[in-house]
Formats: sequence, structure tokens, C-alpha cells
Amino acid sequence: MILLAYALCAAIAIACIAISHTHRQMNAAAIGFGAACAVITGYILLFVQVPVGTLIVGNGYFFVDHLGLFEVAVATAVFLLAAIYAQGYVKNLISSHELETGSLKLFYGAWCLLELVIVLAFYSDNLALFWIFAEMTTIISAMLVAILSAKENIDAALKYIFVASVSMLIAFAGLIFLFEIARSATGTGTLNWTILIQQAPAFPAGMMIAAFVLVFVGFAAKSGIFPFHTWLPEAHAKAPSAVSAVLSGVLLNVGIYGIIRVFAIVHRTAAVATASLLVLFFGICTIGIAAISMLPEKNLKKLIAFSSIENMGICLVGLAVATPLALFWVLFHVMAHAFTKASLFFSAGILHRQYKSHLSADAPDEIRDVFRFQPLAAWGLIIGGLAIIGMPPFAVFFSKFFILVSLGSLSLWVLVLVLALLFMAAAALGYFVIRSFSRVTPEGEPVDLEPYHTPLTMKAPIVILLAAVLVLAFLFPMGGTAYLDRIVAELMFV
Amino acid sequence: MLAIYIALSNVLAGTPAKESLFFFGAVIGLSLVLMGMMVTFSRKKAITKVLGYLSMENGVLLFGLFATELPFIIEFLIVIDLIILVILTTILTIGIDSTLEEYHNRLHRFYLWEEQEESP
Repeated sequence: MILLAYALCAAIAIACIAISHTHRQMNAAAIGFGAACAVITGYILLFVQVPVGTLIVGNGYFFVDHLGLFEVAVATAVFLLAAIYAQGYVKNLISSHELETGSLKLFYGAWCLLELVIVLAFYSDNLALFWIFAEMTTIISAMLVAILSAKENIDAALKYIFVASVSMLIAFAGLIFLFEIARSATGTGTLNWTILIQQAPAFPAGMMIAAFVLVFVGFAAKSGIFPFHTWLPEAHAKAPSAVSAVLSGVLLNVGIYGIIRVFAIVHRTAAVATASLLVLFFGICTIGIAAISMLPEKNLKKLIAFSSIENMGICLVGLAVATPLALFWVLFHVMAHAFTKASLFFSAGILHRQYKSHLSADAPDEIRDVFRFQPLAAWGLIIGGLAIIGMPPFAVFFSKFFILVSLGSLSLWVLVLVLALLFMAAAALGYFVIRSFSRVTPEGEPVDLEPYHTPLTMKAPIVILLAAVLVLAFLFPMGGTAYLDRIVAELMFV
Repeated sequence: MLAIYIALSNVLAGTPAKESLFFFGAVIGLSLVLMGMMVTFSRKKAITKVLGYLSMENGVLLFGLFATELPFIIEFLIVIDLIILVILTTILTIGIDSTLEEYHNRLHRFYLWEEQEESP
């Protein structure tokens, strides 16, 4: 019933978009759909007893458990704010002739469809079904990346499709392995996660390693882990900022969610030592490559995209430690990162509107006089940057700190290495911000820039998200901690 | 293929899957996947990339056929999914015989198409 509610809302929203003619109406439909999804999720969160097994006539394809609900809550929040932000942003895109009026319907239709598919992906019990929805998110979001009338966008979208879906095919081979394992261990082949996690201790280690490696390759590409991260900066830098926020805040979570699910199965078998080593290695490689790439980066959105890669690396490192505490903070980090990164992309979007640097996404940004033109975006970027590198009052600090503490109990040298890399990434971000924000035209010289009047709908999401990141750290212990504990228990890490 | 045979026989040694049909399916399927991946990543033309991708897909589906009896609806959805993906990719690479570099010059053709398609 719950899923039907989501699907019904999506159908209504898409129908509204199809019959509406102006941008305002379509945007209102997208916002309405985002709000409806958020309301339904909030309803489940507060009133429904999870886990729920029988959503559609009890065939075991969909279910709601705490982890899926948690991810859906994060995703719908980001989607709602991004839709509000898109109102001003897309309006400006149209008036500067970067987005054609004809593509608007496609844009908002794909937007609503993407939200629906992501919600369904997080609610699917069957891993193959989850794979299908994850693949569909790739397709739809590539469409959103390619929608701007610029050749680099299509290039980036093609790269995204090829890297992500080629690796996802490998993940499907891994799922077939998993199916075969389940068949030889239990008699009937199944990919239902709830059954697999129950039966996991009986699975043979060798087959489990093969399956995990293949699945890991696929979902790692989805979330931008080291050897497959190449699509991520391109796609994130060239997409419209509202889409970048969704890509970074939600789509990367889809990949991490898949890895967490499969790792939870591996965690109960004898293969866990090899698997954790693999995850740890790739996590550290990811942080390293992101930190090194961030240092010479001169493009703001690419810099933020590399910072996303770095944060995904931290999630993997936390997962590799595989203690209940580390897993708890990985989940917290997923949420904190999604909110912070969305606010960063929103701020960067305002700056891009002001300075029009999107036209050459590889060229360095020419940001001048930022406090005079866009004080809010500048402060949003500074505060968001402080939050994402893990300064104390913000939520990311706690998750990074505790993940590193759990890593320290594993090996001190690895901790020092990761800490150095994180420091490097923070320095790169700080260097960029100080350098570009301190560029000021001297008094009396003519300035050839017109200030871009930022509408309230673009300012509000930034403020809301930054406030959320700040408040989350203090309000979360009320109820949130118990909730995350339940997720950890459900993943059988305790 | 030989490398995969050796690697898999090492990994799967001692498991019941070693002797079964599953093993050969895995070898053939994974080899096809890797070959397709090589084609995908070594070609410049976007359309040959799609061909490589299709060959990978064949590999995975063959593996699925050999190995197990997946639920029908899942296989069906996968095929639909892949078809959508291939269609989208071909739309994006609308100049068929152009490499990714030349294709930038032909992009206004793409806009023509988009306007025809999208105008109310």
C-alpha cells in the first residue's frame, strides 16, 4: 500500500507536468511530489511498525526496514529542497538560453521519475530488483546531466553511462554468484536479502569472496570509488547544480547502500577478513586520489565533486572496520554528507549563475568580489566547507571523528595515513576558498559584472540545510541514536 | 578465458560448484564480460562502445542461463532496463559514424531533433 502511494503521487506529478505549459507549473508539480514523498516517508517513520514485509501482496519483492527507510528519508529531504532550489535556478538557465524551453518537460518528468525509482530501490528486498532500480537511476540521472544544451554535458553523460553501467553488469554477475550460493546452501535459489542474511553463516567463503568482489566493483562505480571514480567529477561539474546536489547527496548513497547490504551478508561468513581488507584498501585509495586531485583543482564544482569522492572513501573505511560502532557512524556520515554536500552544491550553483563559469567547466572559475555580489552564497560556501572538512560543531565532525577512532583501534599507521590525506583535502578546499574569495577589484575601478538577484527559493534551501547540519549533531541523540542502533542490529553486526 | 578458468578454479576449489555446469557458465560468461569490457573501453567511436556493452550484456545473460533459474520477472525487467539504456545511448550518439571528437561538430543536428521531439 505504501509503495502504491508513492507510485500514485509520481503518476499524478508526471501527468501534471505533461499537461502544464509554464515552468512555474511544472516546478510546482515537482515540489509537490517531493513534499508528498517526504510526508509519506515521515508517516512511515513515525507511525508504521517497521520492518514491513508485505507491501505488495506479500510476494517478497519489496519491504521496508530501518536502513531503507533511513536512506529514503535522507533522499526525499534532499529532493524536496533541490526541487525548491530548481525553481530559481532553472528559470535563470532558461533566460540565459542554456536550457531550451522544449526540454523542460523532459527535465521535470525525469526528475520525478528519478525520485520514484530511488525510493523503490531503497525499499526493494530482492537484490536483483535493487540492481535494476539502481541501473535505472543511472539512466535517468544521465538524462538529467545531458539536458543542458552544451556538448560537454553529453560527453559527461556518455562517460557516466558507460562507466557506471558496465560496472553494474559485473555486479549482476556477482548477484548470480550469490544466487548460486544460496541455491547450494539452502536448496532454493533466492536473492531476497532478508533470507540471505538469515542463511549467511552457511555460505562457503570462496564463493562469497568471488560474489562480493564482483558486486563491489559494480556498486563502487555507482558511488565513485577509486578505480571507477572518473565519471563523477565530470558529471557533477557539468550537470545543473540542482541535479548535482541530487547526484551527490542521493545517488552516491545508492551505491554505498548496496555495498552495505552485501557486506552485511559477507560479515556473517568466514570471508569477512579478505573482504574488509579489500574495502579498506579501496577506501584509502579513494581518499588518497581525491585528496591529490583536489590540490590543483581550480573549478569549484569539480572540487566539491572530488570532496564527495573523498567522503565516500571515508564511508568505505568505516565499513571496513566493521564494528557496530563504526557502522553506526558510517550511517550517520551518509546522512551528514548528503545534507552538507547538497548545501555546498546549492551555493556553488549561485556563484555559477553569477559568474557564468559553467560554459567552460574545465576552465578555472573567475570569482571576484564575491562578498559584494553574493554574500549569502559566499558564507554558505565557507560554512559548508568548514562543515564538510569536519570542523567540530557540525555533524560531519562527529562521524569522521568516530570512524577514525574505530580505525585507530585497528591500526595506528593506517589512521595516520588517512588523517594526513584528510588534512590534505581540507587544505585544498581552504586554499581554493581563500584564493578565490580574496580576489577583490580595487576601489574606484569599473566592475563589468551585473549582480545576479538570487531569488528567495534559491537562498532558503542553503540556510535550511546548513541549519540542519548544525542542529542534527545536537538533536540527533533524541530518538535518532536508538534508530541507528536498530539498523545496526538489523544488519546483524552486533 | 584461460586466466579466468584458472582464477575461478582456484577460488571455487573445494566448493560444490566446482564440478557443476555453473562453473563452465561462470567461465564463459565472465570471459565474455571481460572481452566486452575491453571493446567498450578501447574504442573511440561511441557506437562501437555500445556494441561492446551489448556483448557484455550477452555474457551476463548467458551466465544467468547457465548458472541458475532466476525468477522470470527479474530477467524480463533486466532486459527492458538494458534496452532503455541502449536506446538512450544511441540517441546521445546520434551521429552514428562519428567519433566522440567529431561528434561535437555535429551537435546542432541533435538540437534539431530535440526541438522537433519536444515542441508542444
